[in-house]
Parts: sequence; C-alpha cells; structure tokens
Amino acid sequence: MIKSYTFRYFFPAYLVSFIAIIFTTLPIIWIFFISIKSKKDSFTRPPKFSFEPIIDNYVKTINNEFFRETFFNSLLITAFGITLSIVIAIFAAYALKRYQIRFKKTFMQWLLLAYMLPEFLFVLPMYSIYQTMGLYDTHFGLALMYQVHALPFSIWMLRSFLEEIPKEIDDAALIDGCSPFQMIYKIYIPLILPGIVATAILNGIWMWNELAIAIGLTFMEAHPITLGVAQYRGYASKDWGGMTASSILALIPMIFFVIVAQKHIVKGLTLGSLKG
Amino acid sequence: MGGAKSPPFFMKNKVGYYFLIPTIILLIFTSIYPLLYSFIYSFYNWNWGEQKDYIGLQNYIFLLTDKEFWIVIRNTFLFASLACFFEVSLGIILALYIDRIKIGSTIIRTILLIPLMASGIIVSMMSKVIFNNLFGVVPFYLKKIGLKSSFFGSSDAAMPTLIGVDVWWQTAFVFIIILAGLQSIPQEPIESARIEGATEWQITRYIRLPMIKSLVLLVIIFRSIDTLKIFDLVWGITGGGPGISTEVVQTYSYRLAFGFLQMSKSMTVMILFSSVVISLTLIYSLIEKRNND
Amino acid sequence: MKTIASIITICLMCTAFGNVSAMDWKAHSGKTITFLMSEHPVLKGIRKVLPQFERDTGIKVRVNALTEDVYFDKMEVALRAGKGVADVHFCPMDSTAFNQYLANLLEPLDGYIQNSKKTSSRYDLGDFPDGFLQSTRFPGGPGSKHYCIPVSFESYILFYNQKHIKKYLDGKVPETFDDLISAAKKVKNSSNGDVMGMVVRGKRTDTAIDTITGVVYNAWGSRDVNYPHNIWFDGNWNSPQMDHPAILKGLSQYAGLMSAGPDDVKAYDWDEAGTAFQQGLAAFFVDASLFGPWFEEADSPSNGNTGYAVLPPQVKGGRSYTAHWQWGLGMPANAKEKDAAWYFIQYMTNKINEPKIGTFHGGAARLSTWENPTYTDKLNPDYVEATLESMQTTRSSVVMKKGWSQYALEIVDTIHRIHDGMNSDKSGKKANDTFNKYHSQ
Repeated sequence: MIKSYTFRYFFPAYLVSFIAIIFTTLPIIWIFFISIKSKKDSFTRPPKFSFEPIIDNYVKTINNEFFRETFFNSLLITAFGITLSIVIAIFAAYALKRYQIRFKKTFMQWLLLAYMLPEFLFVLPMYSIYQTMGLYDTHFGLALMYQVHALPFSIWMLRSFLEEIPKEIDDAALIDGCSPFQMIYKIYIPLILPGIVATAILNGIWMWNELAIAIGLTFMEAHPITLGVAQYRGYASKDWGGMTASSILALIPMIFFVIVAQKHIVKGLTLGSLKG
Repeated sequence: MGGAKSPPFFMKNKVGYYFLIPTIILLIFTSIYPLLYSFIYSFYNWNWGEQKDYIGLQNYIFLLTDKEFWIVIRNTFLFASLACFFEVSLGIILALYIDRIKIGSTIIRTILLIPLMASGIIVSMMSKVIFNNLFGVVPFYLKKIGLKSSFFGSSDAAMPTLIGVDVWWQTAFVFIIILAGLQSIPQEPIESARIEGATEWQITRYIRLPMIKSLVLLVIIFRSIDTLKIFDLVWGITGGGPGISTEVVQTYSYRLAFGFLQMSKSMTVMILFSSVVISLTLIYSLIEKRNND
Repeated sequence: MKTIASIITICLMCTAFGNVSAMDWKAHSGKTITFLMSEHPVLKGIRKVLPQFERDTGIKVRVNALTEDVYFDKMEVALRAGKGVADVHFCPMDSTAFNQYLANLLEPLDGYIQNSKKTSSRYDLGDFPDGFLQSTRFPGGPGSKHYCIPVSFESYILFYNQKHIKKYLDGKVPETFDDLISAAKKVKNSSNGDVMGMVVRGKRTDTAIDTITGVVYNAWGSRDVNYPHNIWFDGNWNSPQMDHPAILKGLSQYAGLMSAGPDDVKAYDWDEAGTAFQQGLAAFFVDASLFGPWFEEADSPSNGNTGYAVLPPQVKGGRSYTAHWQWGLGMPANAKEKDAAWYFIQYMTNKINEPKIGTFHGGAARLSTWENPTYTDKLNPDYVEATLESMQTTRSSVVMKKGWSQYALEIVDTIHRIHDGMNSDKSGKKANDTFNKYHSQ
C-alpha cells in the first residue's frame, strides 16, 4: 500500500522534472556545442553532432581583458545591489506588516509604479545628476539605480511572505517584548528564509543581466558583463565562438550563486518544520 | 525571556515610519524624478537638440490618433496576456510537482532556473540561431518531417514564437517563487488531510493553493508588468518585424528616442503606457483588498 | 659675397627647417585622451598603431570600445553630456552626424587643419576624394566646415561563392542585375532549399538603407544625385518621388533579391546574412565591401572560395553604379583635450598610418593608400579590383535631413510591401504619402 502510494506520489514529479529539464537545457546545450566547434563546423547543414571540440573560444574569452573586467564589475555591482535591496526591503516589509502606516496603499502602488517604469526612461534624467554627484560610472552608483527595480519587488515579495506567517507567532513575539530588530532577526528572517533567498536570487539575476541602465550610466570603469558578451558582435564579422563561449561563462557565477543560496532554503526548511 | 519591555505607545508607530525612510528616499531619487522629467518633456517638441518648444497636448493627440500606435499597443497586450498566462500556469504546475521531491531537488531546481540566468542578449542570440531557416536546428528537423517553417520571418509566426521564447525564459521566475511559498506553508493541515484520506489533488486544490493565493496574485502582477515591458527579446530577435507584427511599446518608444531622436514623443509614449499600467495596478489592489477582507 | 651667400643660404635653410618643425608632435606630451569607438575592423588597425602613437606624441589614449548598436546609443548620450567624456569619437558620416551638427555637438576641424602649428604640412587633405570629403562638410555648400576626417568607407558590392556558382550556374557570374535575381532563384530551387540563392538584409531596420541605396543607385544609373535631397526627393523636401520609375525598379530588384533568399529573410540582419554566406549556405551576398576581410579570415569556410564583383549593371555591358558609406574620426564639442585629440585624429588618418590601419578593414579613404603596397599587398586581389572598380561610380548614400532615419525605415517598409506582393507603384505612392506626413510634423 505504502509502496504504491510513494510511487504514485514521486513518479509523476520526477517525470515532469525530467521533461522540464530536457526542454530547459536543450537550447543551452546547443549553444555550448557552438562554443566548442571550430568555425567550419559551427553552422553546417545538416547540423553536426559529432565534431572535434576545441577550447580555443574559451581560452580566448578568458584571456580577453575587457571580458574579465566586466565579469568582476558585475560581481561587485550585483553583490552591492542584492545586499542593499534585501536589507532595506526587510525593514520596509516588516514596517508595512506590523505597523499602521497611513499611506500604506498609496505607498504599495507607488512601489509598483517605480518597478514598471521602463529602464531607458532613467538614462537621460539620471545622467547629469549622476555626473554631478560623482556616481557616474561607479559600481555603487549602478547598484543604487538598480534599487528602483529591486526594492519594490523585494518589498512586495517579502511582505507577501511575512503575511503567510500565522498570527499566533506574531502575537507570541509581541508578548515576548522583543525590540523590532530582535524580532526581525530572530523570528521573521528564519521563518521566511526561503522567500528571502528566492528574492535575492531573482534580484541577483535581474541585475546580472541588466543592460539598458548600464549602457546609460557607465562609461569605462563599471561596465557590466552584459556589455562584455555584447562585444563579440563585431562590425562586419560576428564571432559566434566568442559570443557563445562568453555567454556560457556568464552563466556560471549565477549557477554557483543559486546552488549556494538554495542550501540555505534547506536549512530554513528544517527550522520551519521544527517550529511546526 | 527578558522583562516585558514594550516601547512607549507614542513611539510604536513612528518606528514603522523610520523603517520606511531609506526606501522612500531611494525611490524618490530614482523614480519620481525621472517620471516628472519625462512628464514635463512630453509637452514639448524636444528632439534632443536645441529646440524645446511647448506644444501642449500635441504629442498625445498625435499618438492617440495614430493607427501604428494602436497596433503596437495591441501587440504588447497580446504578448503580455498570453506569455503571462502560460508562464504562471506552467510555473505553478512545475512548483507543485517539484515540491514533492526531496532527493536531488537542489540540482533539479538549479537546472530549471538556468534559462532565467541568461541575459536578454544571450536568449535572443540563442533563439535566432536555433530557429533560423538556414542554419537552425529546429527548421532543419521540421523540414525532414515535411513541415515548412519560418519562425521569425513570417508575420503570423513571429509573435507566437516570441511568446514561446519568453515562456522558456521566464517560467522559472514563477516557479521559484511559488515553490518557496509552497515550502513555507505549515505541514500539519496537509498531514491531517492525508490521514483523513484526501487525494493529492484535493490537498492541492483545497489546502495548498488557497494558502498561497496572495503569492499567486503577486506573481501575476509582476509577470504581467514584466511582459508588458518586454524589450530585450523583441529588439534582439525581430526588431519589431516582420512589418510591425512584433513591435511593442518599449521597442517603439526606444526607436523614437534613440533611432529618430524624437525624445519628447518617446516620453509621451511612456507616460501613456504608464497610465495604462497604473490602472492595472489599481485593479490588482482592489482584488488584493477583497482577498484580505 | 660669399658671406652674404652663406648667410642667405643659412637663412633659407632655417626657414625650410622652420617649416618642418612648426608642428611639434610632442607638444601635448603627458596628456590623456579618451577615444569612444565601436567594435569595428578600423579599431583593430588603430590598436596596432596605438603604441607607436603613444611613443611619438607622449599622449596616452584610453580606448572605450562598444559593440555597434550600443555604441550608437552611447555616442548620442556622451555628446550631450554636461561634462565631456570623450575626446575623439567614431563618426558615422551620414544624417546621424548631420543631426549632431545641427545640435552643435561637433567641433569644427578647419581651425586645426589650417593651422600649421597643429597640422603637419604633409597631411594633404586633398588626397581624400572630394566625394568623401563632401559628407564631412556641414551644412553643405560654400562656407561649410569639416566636422570629421574620413577613416574608412564601404561600397556595396556582390560577393559570390565560387563552388556554388560552378555547381549550379556552370561557373557563370550573372551579367545583368535581373539575371542575378533569376540565377539566384535557380540556385535556390535546384538545391531544394539547401543552398540559398541570395542572402541580403531583410530585417526591418533603418540601418539597411545604405545597402538598399546601393541597389537603387544601380537602377538610377547615370542620373545625377543631388545633395542634400538625394534621389528620394525631387529637389525639394516637399516633393518626395518614391514612385519614380528608376527608384521603383531598384526597390523591386531589392525585393527580388529577398525572394531568392531564405523564407525567413525578414529576420536577417547583416550578421545573419553575412554568417550564412561565410558558412557557405548561400551563393550570392549583396552588402558592404567591408565584409571581405571577414570572409578571408584563415579559418572561415569562405576563405579561398569567395569571388568579388561590382553590382551587375542593368544591361549587359552597361555601367554598374553603387553607393558608399563612410566612417570618420570626429571631435565632440564637449571634448576636454581638443588639441591632443586633433593630434590623434591627424596621426591615424595620415599617409603613413592609413595604409597600416587599412589592411584590417579594406576600405581606405585616401587615394594614395590604394597605390600603396603596404595596403594592397595584404588584401585579396579580386577584392581590391572589385572595390576599386566600384569606387569609380560610387556616390554617397547620405541624406542630410533632420530625422532621416524615420524616412529610411519607410523605404525599407516600401520594399517589404513589394516583397509581400503589393504593386510597386502603389507601394511607392504610399511611401510618398508617409514622407509628406513626416515632413509636415
């Protein structure tokens, strides 16, 4: 009885996962193939599945100074950006849940409005301000600008997760008499850790891949990796090997980040179930 | 347990406001100012040069009576509604299944997230390479089984293909949020329901989904806004074509600004578009309010 | 007598040397300039010459290179910055630069060129064909000043895959343009769609206008091309003539090229079209001569298999015509180090360095460079021959009109309408209406 239940429970899950993984990875695998093919093999007709792989494209990309610079720039910018957004959003989300804020509804709508503004709308107005304030072409300046997108998202998300917490825990915490900081740190953060991690991941990915604002507000020092990948679109030639190799390389930090972050979801889960 | 040290009453609410101050400052700086800037310039005829004459509502009248503008609006909403619908449905379904998995779940989740990690440029390049008639894998094999195809080259197929690409790209967004939500809900109601003999589907329908209702609404809000704002894919793959079958509001506005240097008109498009999206968010808040009551 | 003679000789010698040393290459030693540039073969050449430049002048150069479409956006924003961020930029010499001139964003260069202290006497501006310099002068007409120096040009020519020509067309390169279209269609059909007859840009973008202009000029023939209106208008911005028979012929021929191409040609920009040809998937390719060096790269499948020709004329044995487009080096009006910037521009475009840089892009602007073996020896001789031949009848595709890109996009749309089956005259008349609408705004 138990065996068939377990099977009926888990088998569809693994089946669906398998199908989803195939669909998800096929295009990426194809791009990876192109990155290890030599020029004469890249776009043959019929497409080649057996060929002699070369690593030249990767060597070339890693040796490319511009690409390396943009890689590290993005690491810095994204790290700043995620930290800023989560820290500020936690407090804001907590405030919105816990306290009677008079303008709450308008505030939440303003957040959505800020989130939905198109990226290149910011370039012109912010350009001169950024130059004057010395934020132009800086990692921090870019991370700051990214908050217009990351903050509303984070606040909405974290607030939503906080709302899921049963009222009893809220009341218990209040009676305990902790200070707001203690409540946030000791109680709420562990409870909504999966939500925080999901938010951090999504923010990180968005910032890592952002292009429009980066073009507008950077010049040389803070060029992010999106520009590093774009550089392989030459003028009267296209370096498909370089483009595909750099694209694959650009994915790797994100993959690492997601794996590491997810370990925390598991930790958070164990805490949660103990509490139950 | 320390002593019952509750802060004095008059300070209670103030703390809340203080917590909001960093957010407010940042957002005024990064959102109100650019919005005002664009709003003001939408009443001028600024073409990124020296000429800046006040022309009142002329830009608005021009756009609202322009056939092309309305086609662009229609394209945008068509894309957004279909993409959002598929992404939310598929994302929730995926999350429900992956939620069951304990062994190997980290790997599976990470792999399913990979499309989301790719930037717009990468996804565009990928799609162009895969669907290109001459050197793409998909048309090649379709031809082998006798199907002629022209994914991005035909006005009828371009939009559906773009929607498909976006679904491939962004479903993980829904997936990871819903999954996090499913993993945060308390397990006792589910355990007790199982003991009472409820089927998995019943548990999902009557316990899980209602518990994450607000999260689902949130995901719908964000995906619909994101899909309305679509830019990278359209610009990178079709450039709005063939014809204007895939031109959307952001690409249209961008073309006006950086292509034709018609700054003011571009900003007018954005203001009009923002008004539409604001109305959407108002509708959502009404729904949310009804949810919470 | 002898003393006077020697004094006079010494004085003369002093004057002679004085002239040569009136311009001091090291005058701005120690300064740093920023060069805003797009990823372009010209940049590859400049990078090779840069170390020598820094040694000869003592000026340090920071190169900020971006991929082309990003570069265009960056350039527009950088030129308008309150605080200048670039001292030299890569200048697209068409309506883009014209619009920038109108907005007072470019620094006129005449003051530098004519100043013997700033420009070497050997610079020789006249070595550039007047047709090229014309596009650098704004507003056009007497009293115009130069706003950039040409650094490369591209003319629109025909590339062909020699193996496919041999296989499907008995090795015969088509001799008239209509023959080209039917030959291309023949290749497409005979190979059952495995090999495309033709690849061209089919994507809806105003940037395709120059290639299109090349094909249309070939139909326009020996008629005059009057600037600033170019052929699209009848001498007056209020009189568009998109339904002129010669123009319709050219546009229909371009649509014909598209029909001999892949079914999804409307998704092809220059990089897809170029890649398809480079990978041997098409027999013909019509676009900028600048693609030559890419096709000749050692590991390109197209290496050793590419033929070059001018656009086939309308009638057998007739004259071929085409268009050209140029890039130049310009100076933003908000540049901080203008004199040092001028040294850079001058150095990179003088008779010594242009040939060196030119071997990377194959589109040198100076006449003397085309006779310079440093340049010609490094290039495929067929390529050189075809390009030189095209240079004899090429005319600039520039239209000096504010907001020209919108009109350019409409021209692309006109072709697409014809490609979709609309009668060409009807399509042309529709374009006229659109032009008038834009002009009256």
